Amino acid sequence: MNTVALAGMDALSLAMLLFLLSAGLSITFGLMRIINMAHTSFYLLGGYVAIAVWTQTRSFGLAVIAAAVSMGVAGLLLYSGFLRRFSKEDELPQVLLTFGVLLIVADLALIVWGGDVKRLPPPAFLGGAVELGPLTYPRYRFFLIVTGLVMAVLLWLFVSRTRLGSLVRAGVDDVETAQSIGINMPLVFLLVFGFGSLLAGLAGVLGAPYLGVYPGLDFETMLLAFAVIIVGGAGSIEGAFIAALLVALVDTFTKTYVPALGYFSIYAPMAIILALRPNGLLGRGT
Amino acid sequence: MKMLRRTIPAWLSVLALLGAACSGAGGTGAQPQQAAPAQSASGGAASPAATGEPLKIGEVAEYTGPFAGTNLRAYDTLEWLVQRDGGQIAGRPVEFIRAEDQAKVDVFQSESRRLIEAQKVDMIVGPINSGVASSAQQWMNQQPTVWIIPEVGTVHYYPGDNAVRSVATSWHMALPDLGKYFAETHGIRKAVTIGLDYAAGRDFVDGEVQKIFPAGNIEVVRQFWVPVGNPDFGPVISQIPTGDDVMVTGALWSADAVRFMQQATDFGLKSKVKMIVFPAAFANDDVGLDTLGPAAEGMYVYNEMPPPDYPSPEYQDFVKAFKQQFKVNPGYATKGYVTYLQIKQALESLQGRTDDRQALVHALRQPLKTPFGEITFDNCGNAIRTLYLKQIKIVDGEDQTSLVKEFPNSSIPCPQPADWKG
Repeated sequence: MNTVALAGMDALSLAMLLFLLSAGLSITFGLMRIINMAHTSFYLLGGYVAIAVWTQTRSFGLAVIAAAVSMGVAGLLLYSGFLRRFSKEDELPQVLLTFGVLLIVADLALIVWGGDVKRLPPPAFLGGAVELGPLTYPRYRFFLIVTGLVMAVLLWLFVSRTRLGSLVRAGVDDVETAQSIGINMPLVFLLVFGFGSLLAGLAGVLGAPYLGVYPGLDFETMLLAFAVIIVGGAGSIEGAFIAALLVALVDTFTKTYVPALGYFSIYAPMAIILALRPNGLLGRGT
Repeated sequence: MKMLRRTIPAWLSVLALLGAACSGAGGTGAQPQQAAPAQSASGGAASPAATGEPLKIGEVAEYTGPFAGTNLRAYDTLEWLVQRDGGQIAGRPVEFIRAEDQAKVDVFQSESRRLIEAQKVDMIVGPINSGVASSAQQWMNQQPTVWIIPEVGTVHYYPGDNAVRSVATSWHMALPDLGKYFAETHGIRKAVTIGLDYAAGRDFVDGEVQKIFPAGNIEVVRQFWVPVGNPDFGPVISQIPTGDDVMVTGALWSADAVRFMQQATDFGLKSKVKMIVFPAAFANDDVGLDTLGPAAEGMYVYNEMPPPDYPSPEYQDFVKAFKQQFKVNPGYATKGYVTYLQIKQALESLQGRTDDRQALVHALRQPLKTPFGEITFDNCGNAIRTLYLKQIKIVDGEDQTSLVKEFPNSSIPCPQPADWKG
């Protein structure tokens, strides 16, 4: 029973991190049909920037803000400098360009920060563990769960209850029609791309105390992020949330009870969903 | 004329391709570290040192991914030591050429082939990944170069006639004394193993189960296998049986080790078991220890890397210089240090000659004097040396890892085990 409870909480904390990482990518892909292979570069850089800021200031809060904002700006620059020149039909050039960015960022990060694993210490009040009867659980992971849930609610409210959110939904459903009725879709694209990158940077800084930051982390998380998008469906915050939960639960419980299947557990739900619902659970396909 | 004009782009493309092929450029991450003087055009009579012919050393490993830190540390140290020595070994200027193998056999082979055939290296240091070495060993044995293996712990790799394994830690080493030590000194009765699920990880844990625990009558109560790069150890940590006669050990290193130890600390595991002991590249002084900080306090590490307080004046000089250069104590860096001493001794005994491959391997396998004792080599090409059990102590934020016990004359079993495929 203890094992089930602990595995469940592990899955929840991993799910929240996956959700933060994938939500931006889901909206970006659903709205703009941009396959941004460099999305997890923002995750990696977010972690490194946070550690650099923390090293100078010893402030976790400043580190979070700096990482999120800097990655948002980086996303704006990447989109306005390069990606906006492609149309949604130019899938191969998008993939090649963003994959090139992924490789360049990986090498630059290795040069700047080296090959050692780096970790961002959580603030003192989030350190240590909480005793819940017979269970001991890290306090920081509770924080991650709560933060993820709050962000999920805020994002859902934003997309479903705000004007800008309605513009995003309109664009996801039909870009041409949205544009024809006067919505400034290029500006929406720019803001959404920047916001998606901001979310990835935020995921990077929140994940740094939990998973560390090291060369290759961008490639490892890319597979997870795309698995969530494929399962949840592009363009849907709800889909990304449900998919993150599903992927994390399957992965965690498989590694707990059948570790021999640990290498494949993420991809099993992906394959099943693709076979049954090619657009994902809640994808808005065209 | 019109036809000729139409074919100009094709001809230009062909010329461009020929130009690229002749330039000898390319390869992932492989750039010469130092500019090489012009090669001597002379034949065999004059020594390479006299003609100024550069000594070309290839360095093959993965430089990204979870093991990047340890691999980079070893090679950075090797290059730094050569640079400190005037950029030369045995009178020959040294040119290092790095190649990334991505821990994949096919990439290792193609990159090594490029080093051998295009770059004409005199020797290759690496590979470092046990899986790569054990899969590629037959191919390695056939190559016209000399391999110096600074870190491959699996018993499923044995050096061929053109190779020497200079340092390695493997639980398959005959270490019953270690099992007895755990049982008699620390009261250990039960063990939990956590191993990376690949060649070296499986090897290490198998060695513990077969050789170490039985000597101390230690019962293996639980075994866990995790994929390399596993992000979350929570599911494993939450199932570890606890008690004051339990030790947690196995085979985790580099980024995985740092992640495990940090998460284990978050879960309060250190106070629930008697000992946490890991071998090889686990939280060495220079890789991961500064990241772990207090989380590493009290842990034990077991490998062939002497602790920073090892009582040898020459080693202390090295530690001081290393710390000044790299800002951390050496740990994994000693692999680069031993490799440097080995190449230096061998080349000096041969007056810098590397044209006779057999003579070079023979020279590399000669007893090596180091500041922390002599390393000899057995008939299998493996090192026989002292292994150190160390306890990590962090005092006022400073690494004060200290020696607990030495186990001299330790080596990977020779001859090869019956199931070695060769």
